Amino acid sequence: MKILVPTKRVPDTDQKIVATVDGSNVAIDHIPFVINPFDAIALEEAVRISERLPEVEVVAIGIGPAEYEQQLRTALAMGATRAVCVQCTAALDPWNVARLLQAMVGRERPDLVLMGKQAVDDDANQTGQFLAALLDWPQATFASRIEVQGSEIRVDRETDFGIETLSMPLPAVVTTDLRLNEPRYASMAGIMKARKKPLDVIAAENLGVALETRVEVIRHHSSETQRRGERLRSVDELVERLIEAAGIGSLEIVMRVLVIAEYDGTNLRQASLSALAFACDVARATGGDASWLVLGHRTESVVNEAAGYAPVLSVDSPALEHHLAEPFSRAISRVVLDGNFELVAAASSTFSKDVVPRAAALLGGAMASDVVRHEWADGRLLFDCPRYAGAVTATIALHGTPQVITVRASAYPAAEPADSSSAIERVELEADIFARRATYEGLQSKPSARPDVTEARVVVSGGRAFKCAEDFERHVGGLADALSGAAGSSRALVDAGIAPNELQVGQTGKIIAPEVYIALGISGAVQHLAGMKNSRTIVAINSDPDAPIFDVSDYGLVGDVYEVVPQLIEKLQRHAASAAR
Amino acid sequence: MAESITADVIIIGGGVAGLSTAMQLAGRGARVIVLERERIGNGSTGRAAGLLGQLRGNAEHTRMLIDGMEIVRRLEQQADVSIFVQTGSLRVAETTERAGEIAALVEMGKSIDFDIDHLPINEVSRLLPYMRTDDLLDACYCPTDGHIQPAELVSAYLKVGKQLGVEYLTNTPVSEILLNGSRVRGVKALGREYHAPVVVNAGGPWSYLNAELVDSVLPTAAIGHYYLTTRPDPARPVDRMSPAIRDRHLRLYTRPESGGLIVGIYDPEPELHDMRRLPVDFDMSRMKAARDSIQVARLLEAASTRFPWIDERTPMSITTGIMTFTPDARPFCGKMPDIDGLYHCSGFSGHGIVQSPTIGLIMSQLILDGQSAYDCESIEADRYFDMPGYVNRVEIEDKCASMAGNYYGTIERPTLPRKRFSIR
Repeated sequence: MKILVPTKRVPDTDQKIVATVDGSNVAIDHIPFVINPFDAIALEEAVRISERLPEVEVVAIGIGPAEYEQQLRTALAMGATRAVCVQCTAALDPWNVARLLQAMVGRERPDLVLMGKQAVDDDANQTGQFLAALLDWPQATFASRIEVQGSEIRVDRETDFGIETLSMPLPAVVTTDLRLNEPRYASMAGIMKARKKPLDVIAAENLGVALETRVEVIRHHSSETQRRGERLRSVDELVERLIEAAGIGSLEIVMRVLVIAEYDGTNLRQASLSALAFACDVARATGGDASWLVLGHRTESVVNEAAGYAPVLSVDSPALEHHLAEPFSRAISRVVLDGNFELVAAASSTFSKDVVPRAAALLGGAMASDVVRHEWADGRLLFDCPRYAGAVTATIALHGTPQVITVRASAYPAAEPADSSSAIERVELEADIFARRATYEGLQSKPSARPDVTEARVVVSGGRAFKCAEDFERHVGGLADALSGAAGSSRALVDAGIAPNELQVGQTGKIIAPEVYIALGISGAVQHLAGMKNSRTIVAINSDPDAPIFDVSDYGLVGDVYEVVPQLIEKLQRHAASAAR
Repeated sequence: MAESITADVIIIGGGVAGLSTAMQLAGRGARVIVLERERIGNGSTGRAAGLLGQLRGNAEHTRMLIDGMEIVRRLEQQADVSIFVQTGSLRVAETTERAGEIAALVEMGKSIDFDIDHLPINEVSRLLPYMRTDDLLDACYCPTDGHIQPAELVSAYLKVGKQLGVEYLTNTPVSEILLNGSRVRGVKALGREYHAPVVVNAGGPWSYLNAELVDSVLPTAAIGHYYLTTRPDPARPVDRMSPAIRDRHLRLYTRPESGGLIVGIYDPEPELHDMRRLPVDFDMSRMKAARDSIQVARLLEAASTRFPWIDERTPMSITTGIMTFTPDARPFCGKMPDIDGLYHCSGFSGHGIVQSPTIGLIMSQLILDGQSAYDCESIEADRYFDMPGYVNRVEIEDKCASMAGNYYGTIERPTLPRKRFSIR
């Protein structure tokens, strides 16, 4: 068996990442380069498979300038059998990386391509799905467990609805999520052996791929690097800031925009309405139109609900009962091409992140992920996409049509229903559109209602202020639940036996960077800060006005957590209830 | 020009050395300002494991550490925080030389009534079920040892220091030490002058650069250091009160941490850091080990020899930071003949956390009284002053790195106290 592991070289995003003064790039002086952490997870998994099964060859691939060889040596030391450096000095977008990888797959003929779900520099989450589409291989994205059984692979993947299990024949493309494993540090034997392992160099030109730009970066700009340091006076003020931070909240061209509808059972998901709002804005600015595409099986109620907002194209087939990337992406691309849509929009979700990039590849590879803002400049539509986990935002233009984007739902308000219901058109597609090799095996709800600290958007952590496990659960757990977040802890509480070991955030625990980090009764020792200071927004509640945690906080409230937190939970629950109507 | 600020003592560096010295000085009524280049306690202090082994090869150092515990106990009451974790400590020997080392240590400890004794190997196995013991020849156990939690120690120094009126300025790198002839008159930081007749250089790995500001030579070097922390594993619990272990043959030390185990190494070929090349806002907590770091590989190899369940597949985090080593692994505390009013307090060679309580007291005595109640001969700042072979950076780094590389490697020969003293 041969496993190909593409490994991207990225700046270590645990360092401070800022845009250069001219905005052309990010400043990388003093910043070490590492293997993209998600690719390191893929490599680790490949190496573990090779340690479990006989005769498994793990080939690490790097694409870029000659310096990439250093990361490939690291990959060899971690256990790759051999490495290939595809030398290329041009800036590469996901489309071109996928095409170069496609050529490498042609040369290497692997049984499995294992790669990170995204790179932590551009955060695109496209390349694996592009590659699967270009190869016409089955795919499984966001893998949290992988099992190779003969010529089949079974993958657990993390979705918004739970852990989905797929099985598919090899060859296949699998992209890896955080929870799959913890990558190793190389052993002495690994480092010694790596020196003798083959590292081949191929010039990209020799792969016969003519590069074609799909993503043009217009400029980068840094997000606010200074913490706001705002001291709040009341719980109400804090509720306002939290709701904001947690996101509970004429031109020459004519653009026809297609919005991929997502639904939860029988109801449209709120996030899709944000994608529609974006689509309607673009359509209005260009004198074009926006329509829904509802894909699935027995979707009548969703179709009817969607028609209350905009015209609907509906593809209904038993083959679409489960969200399998192959038929969904083919159906999307066929509807887009037949309907002459110039722009496809979807909300950023585990469903669209799996399916939409694959559709984008079938449509030519012009894709922007996680758009937070758009603007028109010289007749071109530009998109702002967060990179480096939001430390830098890139303004990009896409080359070629149709263009495909996912929008970050919290960045756009939900669309309002129209006065009257719109037309519903049923689209019939030929049978080969629905062909699929992956088999849906089932869905299990997530083992714990609360996400893990390493993957949650919101993390609520408790410190020394909490005196017993019941208090910790009631306050830290309660606030985490109110914000659909994870519970975390300082080392002191773990030592005191008040919080479980695995919740520890800090230097010797987990190092995390959620969108919102809420420190309850945590003083803010540097050892704790080392584990959370890259968080997007930091909120602190502490009774000591001099606690160092306030120095790194965006919002601080001086108060006793035992008094403040119950009020906070109640007010947030009331807000959620009113938002849900 | 910005107005100047005056104090009795200015301390450069907000690590444990500077914080402890500031607290002791303020306790005696001095007006003290601490200038920290980045964040309080975020240099070597923030990376330290904090192991306390009170019995040293040198009797005066043993006394300093034992007295330091008294200061820590007082701090725990003053700041209402638990700093010291008394896990006990264990030294193990797998060679006859190491067994001899242990025998000498036990003899020396007993001579000063220190609680130490040999521990039979089967007892060791019972105490530490997660450690390999079949290759051990001897072990000794000190029940009163343990570790000082660096985060809690820093917060206590800060809390008490603030109560005593110490002023702490963070993100304030000192760019100049101001002189009047060969006398210190203050420092300059961020364009602002701070005037004081006494300046303390407690800059840790940066301290040699601070000395260079006044063309003085402080023979310290910045040495990279690594430890791993295994993720808590319900299948192999590490009790938080398990004793710390020192295995000098493998160059390892360990202690429990949040359900996992910290294992650190004094690497035989340590990395040297050139502090001048680091950015001005360098944040040591962002240092990261490469996945194919040779130091980490050696650490893993040694760790799996003593703990066979640890290997490269074990889920773990790696902590790396910079230590300040000296040519004899002993700190520099006090003045040098060249600059009047400039005191050094640096070079703790991996023992800053546990030495800091007493060192702060000693520094305050040296500064305010001109002498200390302790015999400071072995830690005097001028012991290499103008000494051939200890002048240029290359020589100094060579000697410090060699000391760091042989640390734990050499066989210790404890010296019995010159004058007999009892710890009770």
